Amino acid sequence: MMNGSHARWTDQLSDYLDGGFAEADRDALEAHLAECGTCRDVLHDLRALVESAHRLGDVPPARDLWPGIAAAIGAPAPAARPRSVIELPTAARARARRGLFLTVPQLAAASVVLAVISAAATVWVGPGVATTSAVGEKGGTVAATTDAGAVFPAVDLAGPPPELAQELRLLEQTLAAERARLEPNTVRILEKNLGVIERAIDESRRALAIEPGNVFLREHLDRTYREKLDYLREAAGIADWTG
Amino acid sequence: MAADGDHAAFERLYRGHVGRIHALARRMVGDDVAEDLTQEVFIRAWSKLGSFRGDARFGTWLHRLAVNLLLTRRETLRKREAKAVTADGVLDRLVAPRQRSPGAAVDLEAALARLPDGARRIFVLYDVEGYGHEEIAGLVGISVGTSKSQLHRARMLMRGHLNG
Repeated sequence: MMNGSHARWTDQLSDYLDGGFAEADRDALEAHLAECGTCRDVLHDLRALVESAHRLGDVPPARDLWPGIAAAIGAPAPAARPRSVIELPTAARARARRGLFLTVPQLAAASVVLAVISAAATVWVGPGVATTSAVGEKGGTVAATTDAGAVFPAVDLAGPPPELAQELRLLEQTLAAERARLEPNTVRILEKNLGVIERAIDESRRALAIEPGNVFLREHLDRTYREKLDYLREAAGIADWTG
Repeated sequence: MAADGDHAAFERLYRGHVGRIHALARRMVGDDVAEDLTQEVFIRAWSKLGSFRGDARFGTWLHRLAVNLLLTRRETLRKREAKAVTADGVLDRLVAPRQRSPGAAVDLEAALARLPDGARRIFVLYDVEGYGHEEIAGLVGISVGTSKSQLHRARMLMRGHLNG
């Protein structure tokens, strides 16, 4: 519990932090700070808070407000916006509510990032694993041939983590149903990126077949499934927006 | 060009500044009405473009216009305040546990949204937007001392929210 004298100092910490203190008062407060850990902690937190506040950035709205503004100011009605700018209302709002906009180049860039993820798995496992053998979709066992001619041991394909499986399946179904409504270019990019994710999953699973106890590979596979889930959510958001 | 009635030029200005204005609205009056008020700011800006003389940057002029408009939306703010009281339990859960770090922007935005209107406006104008106490006092219609005490109150409340 703070006593009255202590609270008097605490109440002045903001002013002190902002440099609004006369020299004599500053000396007295600094003398108090030298012996009071509580006030030092408060000052430390306030300083961190202020620095964080300074760094807060812009927040675009989750939807394009221009059509409403254009109507109000008598501007020509905007033509149907090209799908080259894609707003992702549902997934983006749910995530950070900071407005996520993906342009086609950004979607394309995402594929580069995902390719790096995929490549990382390949490099980790080594060149001998860089094979394109298909992995069965329904679990069971599968053998994959490396470019060195070796054969992977049979793998029990467990599929995605149980907590993700149902949502993944529903999103895939949603996207399949909405596919016809998306522009061909959007579909092409989505499929390309999902293909990259699938390859990363495929490679991780085959690598795990060799080293089932490898923690990195297990975490990598889990991360990649989550990447896929995030991507599918965004893709479903595109379908929602364009509907 | 926008001042001459060029809609395309004004759309470019909108696209260049909407993120900042929406962020300001969201932080000052809340997410629920931020988009409507952002739209209103740009509509108001269009109607007042004739008074923009070009001796300040357009962004500065627009920002000041936005602050004035947001501050005058008393009715909207009161409605939001009433809502915030009933939604308090929900907000508590939303910002509950997890790791708390004063530096995390998402936590900071959540804590900001929980501040009472008066303290929040001062915090946003001073700590986020960089206005001085004298300017704030003039804009809000309070004394410099009140602005300072509201700021300290806001910071201490934010600290409490962030440290749980």
